[in-house]
Amino acid sequence: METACEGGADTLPPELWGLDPVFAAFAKLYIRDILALREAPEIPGVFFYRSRPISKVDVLGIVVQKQEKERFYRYGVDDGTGVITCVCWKQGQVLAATEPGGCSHSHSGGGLEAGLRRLRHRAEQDSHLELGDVISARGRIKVFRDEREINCSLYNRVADTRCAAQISRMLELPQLYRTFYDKTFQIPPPSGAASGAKPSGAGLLLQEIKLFLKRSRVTNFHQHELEAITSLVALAHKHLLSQPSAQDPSGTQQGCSGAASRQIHTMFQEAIGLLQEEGVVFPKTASPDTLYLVTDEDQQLHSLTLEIIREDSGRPKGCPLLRVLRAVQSRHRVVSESALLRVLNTLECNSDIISTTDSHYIAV
Amino acid sequence: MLPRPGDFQLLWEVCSSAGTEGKTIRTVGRLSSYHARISEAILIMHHNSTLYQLAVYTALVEPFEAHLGSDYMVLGEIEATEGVCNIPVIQARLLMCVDGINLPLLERAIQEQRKYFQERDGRSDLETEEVK
Repeated sequence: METACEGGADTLPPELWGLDPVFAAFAKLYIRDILALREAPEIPGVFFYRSRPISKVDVLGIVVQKQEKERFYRYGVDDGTGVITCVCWKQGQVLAATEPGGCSHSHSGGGLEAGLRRLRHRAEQDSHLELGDVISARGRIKVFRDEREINCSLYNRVADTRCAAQISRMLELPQLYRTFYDKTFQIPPPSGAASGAKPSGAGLLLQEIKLFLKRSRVTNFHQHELEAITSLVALAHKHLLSQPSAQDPSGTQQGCSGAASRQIHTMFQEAIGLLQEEGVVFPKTASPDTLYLVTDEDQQLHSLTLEIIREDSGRPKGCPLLRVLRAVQSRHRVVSESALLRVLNTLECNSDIISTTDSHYIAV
Repeated sequence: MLPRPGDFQLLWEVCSSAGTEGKTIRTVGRLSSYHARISEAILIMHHNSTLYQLAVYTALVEPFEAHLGSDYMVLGEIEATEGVCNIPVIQARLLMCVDGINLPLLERAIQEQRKYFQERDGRSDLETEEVK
């Protein structure tokens, strides 16, 4: 069975093993495959089934050999494909030793205590196996005196008088192998990377409009004015062409250009929406074809805000944000909160005001 | 030293295959007779209206409760493919009563397992050929 453990070229580097779910799970493998696993050269205790890193396994089989040592049993387990030694530590005795008082309270205790004792007794019985018993064991693979064995972290006898457990395991394993172990693990791409690598058209346009506003220092604009700027339109057009939906075969040249201009229009609308969310611009009125005011260039708004904060600086904590917002909106016009935050930020950068908490301001 | 694994085989396969002396197998059959004096039990199974029989040497697993008519699973080495009455003989290392076993399901499970191993071995043969 060398074939099952070949193919080391496509294995993951050790720091990425943890990404493979099979690595952390108790892999249900045929014992013949466990014996044939390829050892990882870098780290002892890790093995490879094809390209999947494996450290822990789960087996079910018949006990065909038994050796008792002082602190553990060594069971030879046969699942029909191979035989492997399972080192099973004597847990029952540890439990009995830690139990205080032994059986002196046996009749004084309530039902709970008696139940617990019964459970312990049963666990002890299940951890003591004889030849021919069916054992279910899971643990780490270890190499002891050049032989593979399973150091069991959990094991128990399975009451399997009708072989039901063994048959279901025989039916389950081929499925598991086909669905998981035989497949090469591929690291799924991070979900955020897809959107980060290819920003949307509106996002690209947003950056470009911001740059444009900074350079030209316009104080206000209409959307159609923005759509007349050649550099911005060219950018939107370029993005549109790179989209697969732009190559729509149906429709005439006229129809195509009409659809394209509509798409560009929506793209600008989205970009302006994003600008408003960031507080870079705010609309003068609520109508769709409104004038947009650039927050950074609106000196009147800045001085008004500063004035309001000055008036209220007598308060112990300073002027609260909501009060500033309400005062500005009542005296001036509809200003969004994000735009006001941007104004406050600019004022603070100019050392005109100081924020005492994250929502209180005093004038200097 | 660990014993060799007992490959799952159906009783009629054990009876129909020749030249398998010394092979370790496990199989299931119905106990039809048991002679404690000579430590020999007979397991039988009907398949396609043919009766298949297997003689089991039970010296290593005695004493055991022999329920005639119950299903038993035996794990051991094949001593001879054609024994005394022309039936194969197996030296039992383990003999377990598995009364009530779902034989059709067991047969399916064995076939599934073999099918998988055949598939995989065939695939890896192809892969090694490609490498060559």
